[in-house]
Amino acid sequence: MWQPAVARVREEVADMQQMAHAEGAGSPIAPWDYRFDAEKVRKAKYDLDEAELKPHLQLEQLREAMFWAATQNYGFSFTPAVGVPVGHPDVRVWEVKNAEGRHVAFFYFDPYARAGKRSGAWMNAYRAQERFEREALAQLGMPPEIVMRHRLPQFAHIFAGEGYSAGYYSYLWADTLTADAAGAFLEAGGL
Amino acid sequence: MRPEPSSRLAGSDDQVVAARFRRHVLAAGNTVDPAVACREFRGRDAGIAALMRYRGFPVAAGSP
Repeated sequence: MWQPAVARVREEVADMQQMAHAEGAGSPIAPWDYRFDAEKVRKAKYDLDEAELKPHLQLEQLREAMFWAATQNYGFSFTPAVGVPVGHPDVRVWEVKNAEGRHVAFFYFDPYARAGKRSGAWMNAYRAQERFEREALAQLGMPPEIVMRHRLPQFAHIFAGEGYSAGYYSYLWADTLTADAAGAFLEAGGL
Repeated sequence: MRPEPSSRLAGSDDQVVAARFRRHVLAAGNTVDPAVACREFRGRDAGIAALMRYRGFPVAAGSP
């Protein structure tokens, strides 16, 4: 990680130096210039007008794009499901079918904040993949009379309070894996 | 403005990679060690180069 970080600093300084020259300041970038000049470069290079982006980032557009990607990559098709009970009128449901037209799942789309709905990013598994746990418990000689009382996600203290940094590391590592997986698509000439 | 399902904007090899991703990562889920799932999908251990690249750090092409 160190080498890319240093390389990035060199790029940033080169940008700053170029801007300083353009403004007629001939002196090299000094440590006390760094933040000030970095902000000037950021404004000049990346000050995007969010109003220009927003039309492309409408919720329905993003949902369509998500469905499109799933169709392209996995052959799934999405049709609005009729008569499926929902917990709130805002919730919309699609039936997901595979390339052979067979039912795979229902996709529940519930994107809006409202009173009583928890904000934040978390997930619940409705259909657990239990093979690993079953095998691990069998290996431990877990008495079948006892049910699992705590699984890892229930240890909230890992993610709360002083221990949060440990939790954060897992986010970062998850991000690393995501980026690496996306890299596989890029290397194959896609995305 | 809607994405057009009939046009293939994505690269032609996306489906091949997606099938591997589905088989080794999505379908496997938590039944295998994620490190193993990643290795089988990628053919190597996961590395930090891709993340660094996405976050704007210059990383030599081909580094894992």
